Amino acid sequence: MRPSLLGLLRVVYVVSAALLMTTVLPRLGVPVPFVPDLVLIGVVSSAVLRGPVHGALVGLAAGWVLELVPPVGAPMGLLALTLMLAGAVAGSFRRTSAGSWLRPLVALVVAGVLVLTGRAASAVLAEGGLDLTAALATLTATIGAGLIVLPVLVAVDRALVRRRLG
Amino acid sequence: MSNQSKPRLLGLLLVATLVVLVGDLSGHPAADAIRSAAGTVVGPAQRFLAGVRPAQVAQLSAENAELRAEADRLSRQLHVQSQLEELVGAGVVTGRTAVIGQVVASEVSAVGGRSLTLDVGSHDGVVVDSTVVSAAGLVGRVVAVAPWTCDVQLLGAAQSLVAVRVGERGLLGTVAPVPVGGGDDSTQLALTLAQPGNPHVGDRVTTLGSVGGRPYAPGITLGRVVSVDPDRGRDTVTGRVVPAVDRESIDVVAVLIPEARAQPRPVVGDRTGEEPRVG
Repeated sequence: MRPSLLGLLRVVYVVSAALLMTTVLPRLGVPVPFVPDLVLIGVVSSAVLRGPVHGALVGLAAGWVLELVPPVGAPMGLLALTLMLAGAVAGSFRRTSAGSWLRPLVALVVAGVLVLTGRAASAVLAEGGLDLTAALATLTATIGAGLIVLPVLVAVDRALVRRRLG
Repeated sequence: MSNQSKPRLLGLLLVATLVVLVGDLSGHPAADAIRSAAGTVVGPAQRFLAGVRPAQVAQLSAENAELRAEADRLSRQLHVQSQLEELVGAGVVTGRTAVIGQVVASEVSAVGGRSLTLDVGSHDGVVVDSTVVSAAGLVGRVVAVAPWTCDVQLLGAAQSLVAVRVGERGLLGTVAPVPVGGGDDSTQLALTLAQPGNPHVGDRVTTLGSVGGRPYAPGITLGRVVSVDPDRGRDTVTGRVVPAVDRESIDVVAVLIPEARAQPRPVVGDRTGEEPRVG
């Protein structure tokens, strides 16, 4: 794999997003259910521009980063698989022509629901119960953050590709 | 990246992920190693981002422990204070010279009854045969005095004998521990009246008092009559008394310092109204 500025930025974004989600935002007093899934937003932004295979790959890698940032998920790897699926699904929203602003958002909503389902399933399996309100709060927070962050990420991605830095 | 290598890489990573997932689910030690490695690598960054420094943590936890100890001390003090207020409010120390003490040790005696150690002693004015009372009533008497502590023989200990008055009529009698084999309830005390009389169940039993208030000051509640033995032609009336003080939970007590009378009592009229003083 050829290292590129875009690749480096992706890694930086995913790692800082994971740290933001696990440490900084809760520390700043954001209630845990309202912490947006910033990693998922990054995965979706990359996937909608390049397709399902790329989305799955980025999702899997980003999922592992998020998984390994303590607290490490249990069972380990499930989150990575969920994000891989979410990335693949988001990638299927790709369109070769310049997409509308709405398309990445729809992909984010679908991917968000997918991740939510995966987490709910693992919660039901592990704890025998599910806090539906908290899950919906997370989804709402993710979509809300996506409204701002996703267009920015997509624009940056496109600009870097246009300048042959991706 | 070529179009072929991407799916291959994805497949490889997917297989690795599944291996880790299954390994973790089956409890393989490697999973824990990955966890601890991740914590070792990312942990410092998280700590930095959370704004917590190790020294700060140590300082804060030390401070926390200190405050907790302080809170415990204060709540203990509050407890003592409330018991003290109860003691003073009950009126047992009113008009008497008293030293407030606290139980610092207790010992179960093999021959029955118990003895306590209080944190007041001869330096506080406690002398042998001082009466010990709590808010509820009579606790016992001081049997040994050290400079800063004293030992108390509890009511109902072997060989303790208290002269009492029973009920409103003030029947005279004595209260002693129930003789061995004489009863099933160890918390009860045996009452023996000095002369014929008919005490009732529920009658208040108070101390009669001794000369100079040693070993028992007069008029202190000792307990209540719970049963009167049936009269089967015996000379003496006997019964059972339950102490007013719960022996298990004695804490803050007052030691009544006996004061010998120095002044002769003034003669009142023809002296018919004088209360008899029996020791």
